[in-house]
Amino acid sequence: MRASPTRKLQLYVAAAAVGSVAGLALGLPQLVALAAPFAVYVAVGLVLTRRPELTVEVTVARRRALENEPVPGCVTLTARSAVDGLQLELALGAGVVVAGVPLSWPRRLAAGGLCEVEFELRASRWGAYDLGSLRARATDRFGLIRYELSGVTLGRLRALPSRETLRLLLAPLELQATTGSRTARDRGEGIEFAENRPFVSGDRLRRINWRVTARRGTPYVSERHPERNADVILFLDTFAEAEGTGGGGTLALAVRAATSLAAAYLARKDRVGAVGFGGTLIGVRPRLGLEQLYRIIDALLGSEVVFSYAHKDVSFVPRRMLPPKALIIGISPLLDDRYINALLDLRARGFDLTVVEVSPEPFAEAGAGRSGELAYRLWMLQREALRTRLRELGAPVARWRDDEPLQVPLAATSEVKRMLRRPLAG
Amino acid sequence: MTATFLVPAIAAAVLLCAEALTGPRRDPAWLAGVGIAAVAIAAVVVLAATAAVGRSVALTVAGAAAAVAAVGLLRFLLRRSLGR
Repeated sequence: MRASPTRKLQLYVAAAAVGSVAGLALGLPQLVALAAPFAVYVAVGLVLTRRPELTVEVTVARRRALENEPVPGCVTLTARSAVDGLQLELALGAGVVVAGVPLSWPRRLAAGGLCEVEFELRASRWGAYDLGSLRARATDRFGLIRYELSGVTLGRLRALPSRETLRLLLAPLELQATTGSRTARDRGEGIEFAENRPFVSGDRLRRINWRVTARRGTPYVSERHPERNADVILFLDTFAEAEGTGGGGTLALAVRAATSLAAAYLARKDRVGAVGFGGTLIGVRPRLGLEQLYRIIDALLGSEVVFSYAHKDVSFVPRRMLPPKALIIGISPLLDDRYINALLDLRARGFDLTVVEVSPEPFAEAGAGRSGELAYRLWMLQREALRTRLRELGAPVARWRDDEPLQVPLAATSEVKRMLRRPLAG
Repeated sequence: MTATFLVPAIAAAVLLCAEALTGPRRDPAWLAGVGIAAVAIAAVVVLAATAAVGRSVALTVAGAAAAVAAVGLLRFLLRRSLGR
């Protein structure tokens, strides 16, 4: 514990000194009598002062939580000697706030006393946070020396993006060869009935449909649709974002959308991967399972807009991140030409592409005057033209605004995608 | 003369006010103890000053010596308390 004089000590020493000097100078013993108690108080206090033996431990209940979810914590104070003037101060990291009631603690702890101070913290946005540290201050019983214990760190917190439960998802055009929970269009071993057809040499006897065979007089077999899974790649734009004055932005929304989509597709036993395409490249290879969800979230937590003039195209993305026949879901505010060109490139390469546009329009306002309004309208028209171009190329765009559930644009786009199911031109 | 004998009470009142303002202990027992001690110390100083009337040179020399000793004592105690 670091010791330092308090203001009280400075004040008392000053009072004693001024009184004594003034008494001597003016020849007034009354002033010396006024100053003497202060001097004796300081002398006795400094002789009798003992360094308080205080142990401070901080525990945080969880290291992972959803954004804005309160995380309980506890400060345990153990005093082996009496502690006076106790003060606790949480120096929280950026983006972390105390949720609920502020900390309250006793000012005095008796020798052998134990005190537990409970608190709640929350992170206002997803991300990896340094929670900060706790500073404990105490004084001796005369209040002349302050003892400070700092450097009690609270550790780190990973605030996971909140996610929406999605029931209707974008169906991939093509499925993979591995088993999943999607009914494939082709015929094979499966549960879902497809059709009956006459028996041909090589068919397995167990597939003979005996009822149809008896009705038709010739052997018939039942064809079934196999169950397959899909590869889904979440292609996140980290080139640019539109930020609001309240701290929100399109990147925060995009990561929330990516998390919701990853959770929903992984729950349907699809392989999901993620690519953060921007100033820096983030990549998670497609895999299955709950562990993959946390792998993707961990990767996305580090995503941020890194300003860069560097030209980048799809060739910068490792090939294994973009497996053939994968459904690629681009999540972007569609503000950066490099990302838009990458989308066009992916579509030209034959990938099944859908774009979730995290609309930057709520974060942008028309400029002042007629020219500002005109520029805003032109910008809106350009964006509409871009959407139309992508749709015409077979990549429907789901416009998502923060004030509506992600499910709404996904459901609408799912219908559009169904209508667009046709072979690629060329 | 009356004012001189009121000095211990005034000294105790001033110290108690300072103590109540700065803390950390403000309980009645503590404040009572501090007040009584202040009265006693101030009374001793007043009595010593009364006894030394007419010996102003000696008093001045003793006061200066006491001030130098007090500064030395304070430095020693502060070093000890702050652990430097």
